[in-house]
Amino acid sequence: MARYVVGVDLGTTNCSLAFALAEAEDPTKPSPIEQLDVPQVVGLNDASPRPLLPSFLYLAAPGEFPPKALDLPWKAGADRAVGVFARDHGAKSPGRLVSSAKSWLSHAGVDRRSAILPWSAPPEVAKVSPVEASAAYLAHLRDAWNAGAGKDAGGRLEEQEVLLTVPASFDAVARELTVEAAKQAGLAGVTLLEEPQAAFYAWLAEAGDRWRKQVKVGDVILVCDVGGGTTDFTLIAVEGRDGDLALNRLAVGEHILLGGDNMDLALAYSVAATLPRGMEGLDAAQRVALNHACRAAKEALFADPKKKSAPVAILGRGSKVIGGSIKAELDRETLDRVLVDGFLPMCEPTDQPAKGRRVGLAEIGLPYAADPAITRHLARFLNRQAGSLHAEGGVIRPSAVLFNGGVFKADPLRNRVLEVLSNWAGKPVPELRSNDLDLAVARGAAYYGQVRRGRGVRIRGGVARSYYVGLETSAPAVPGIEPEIKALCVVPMGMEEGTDADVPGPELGLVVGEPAVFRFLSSTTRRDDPVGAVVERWAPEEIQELAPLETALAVEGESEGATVPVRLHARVNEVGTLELSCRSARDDRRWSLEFNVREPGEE
Amino acid sequence: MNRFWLALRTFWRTLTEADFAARVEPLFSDRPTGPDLRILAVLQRDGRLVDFLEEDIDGYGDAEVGAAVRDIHRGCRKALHDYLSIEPVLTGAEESSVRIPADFDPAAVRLIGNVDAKPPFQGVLKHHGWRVRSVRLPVLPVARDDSSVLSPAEVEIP
Repeated sequence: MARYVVGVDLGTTNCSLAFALAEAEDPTKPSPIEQLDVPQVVGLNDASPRPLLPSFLYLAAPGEFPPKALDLPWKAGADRAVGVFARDHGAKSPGRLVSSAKSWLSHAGVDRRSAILPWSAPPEVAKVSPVEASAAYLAHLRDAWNAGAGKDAGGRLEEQEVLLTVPASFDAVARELTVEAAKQAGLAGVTLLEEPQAAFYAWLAEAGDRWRKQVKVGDVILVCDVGGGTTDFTLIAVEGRDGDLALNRLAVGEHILLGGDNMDLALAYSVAATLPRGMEGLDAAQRVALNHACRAAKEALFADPKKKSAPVAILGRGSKVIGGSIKAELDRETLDRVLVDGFLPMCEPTDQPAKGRRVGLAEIGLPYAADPAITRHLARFLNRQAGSLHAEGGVIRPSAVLFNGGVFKADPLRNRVLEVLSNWAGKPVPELRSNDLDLAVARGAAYYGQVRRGRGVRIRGGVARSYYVGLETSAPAVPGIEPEIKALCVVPMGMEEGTDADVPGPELGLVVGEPAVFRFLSSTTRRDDPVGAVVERWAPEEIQELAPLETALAVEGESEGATVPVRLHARVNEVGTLELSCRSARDDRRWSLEFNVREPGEE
Repeated sequence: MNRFWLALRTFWRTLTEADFAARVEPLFSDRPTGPDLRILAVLQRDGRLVDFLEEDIDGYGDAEVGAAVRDIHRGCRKALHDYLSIEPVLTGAEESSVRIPADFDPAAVRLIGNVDAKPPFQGVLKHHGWRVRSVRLPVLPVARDDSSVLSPAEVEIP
């Protein structure tokens, strides 16, 4: 029996952990939520607690540091570091730094279970897979918990109810790999929760019963979550049910690799452009210093609207701090141009993000968003969902916005998003105020753990996408052209956790002794396809292909090469992942389908 | 202080606990060591304080010094707050009047001016003083602090 409900935010750039007692003294009220300060290596020989655990893993070279310098209270002889020191030192020695593991976890273009990170590491580095890196962050949180709160019997994190958050835009494969990382870290019983929903729960937890006064039936709330590396949109509808308010997650956006880190980098580049030798004239450590200084200058300017500019100083690289220092300035005009107009430009509700490859800001390997304009991505999201939801007049006008992510601590950035949405709506769109934009997701997840125990209101919504298995059409094969496929809906959008369904439709034939491979597809907009529906044609952006599904039929009793007629079966489990299987039409044998995340064409 | 009891306890814990023994050992060493150095190392690491104090700043203009100090200040301040909680000894506003009882702690309050007045003293608070409320030094034991390095030399391999 779990003593605590624990919310874990496994972020692209920062992780955090919040917890609450599972059983409250007053069963009608949620228990107070606390934050775990995470001990981590912040410098050599210095393991100190910090509220956030930066999601960076540094793989130290043999003999690079003095013995025991990376030790943690719970671990001696460590040869790798997670957290602040990994991030800061890794910026100076990037060849051994694993970063953005979460973005790699959702990147279908690579084999996510093979050791590919750090992406640009020299051959002598023992690389890790995106799954292993994510597991390393979770294992660090587990050990930090077990060394502190978990020291009592029954207090270990493995025994608690852990809610792990993932972007709403994560597809079934990325969710599955996240659960796999949790298992590697010894957390076998996690439950997944979408991050924007977690942010919404944090708002509910904070507002208490007052939330019912701040929204009304018919409202559609936009959760605008801009994290370090990803932008995530979600729509939540307020509905009336049995005389009370109910919440329903209507739609989630696509995976957009664009976030606060891109903003900080863009700002650093524009300040570096004013230096005599530009960014090229700075070494790795000075670039990090420039990044820090720009962030501080940005915060100073955003905090005081009257200030015209803020100094940006990069201290001397050597022991001469003043003599070698480089001075620059961030003025308000640059700040507004780069951040407010660059990332949140005013635009029309019908605008689309620009396509094409973006150079300069992209880290090698990851498919970063081509257009940095978050507002245009938002326009596209609302536009596409309007069609999908059959919204009146073909547009969705959110009635309120809940922001999440450290980026939105800055008033001008929140105000710009509100201004754009108000323009589109033709009337002011209010903001639902949230206090802690950095830690809200973990706190909200800990709150959700209590909601699952009946203390508080639950957001409904089910599966955020519809999923399809590709069926090859019987069109004549043309050499060099892939046969067209039809999409058989196996999981309809909105299918609830803990339910399962037989997929009606054609019987499929599996060949005994051969691996069977199914193409697997998904959509964030096709909400009207029932299970068993066959989609013949679709627009390219409507349905995306994911990693294929695979199963192998053991020969057992059948003659090799024989065909077994099967039907598909889908289940959405309590964890929040999909279980797809083939069931024999003749007897009660079944074969589960697994995701094959190997790089396409690797075999 | 019961020194006999303290000596016994120290003897026993030094014998049975490796961590404790590692903390006692430096007391018998002539090498510079101890928590003060750790704070200094952290202030150098996060705020470049030693670099700043060791640099000859006579040759630089006020603007140059000012720009750099802002950064040094930010780093040192953050480090200070990360590792120590510091608060005023007396909470009243400076330049306001304050009453000091007869049994005041002379280590925490220093009287200046007419120090021969009769207690309780009625005076003006000139500086509220500072005291450390709590210390959050690195979790690891001091044992490894067996070196005089405040900040390692840095060498980049191309």
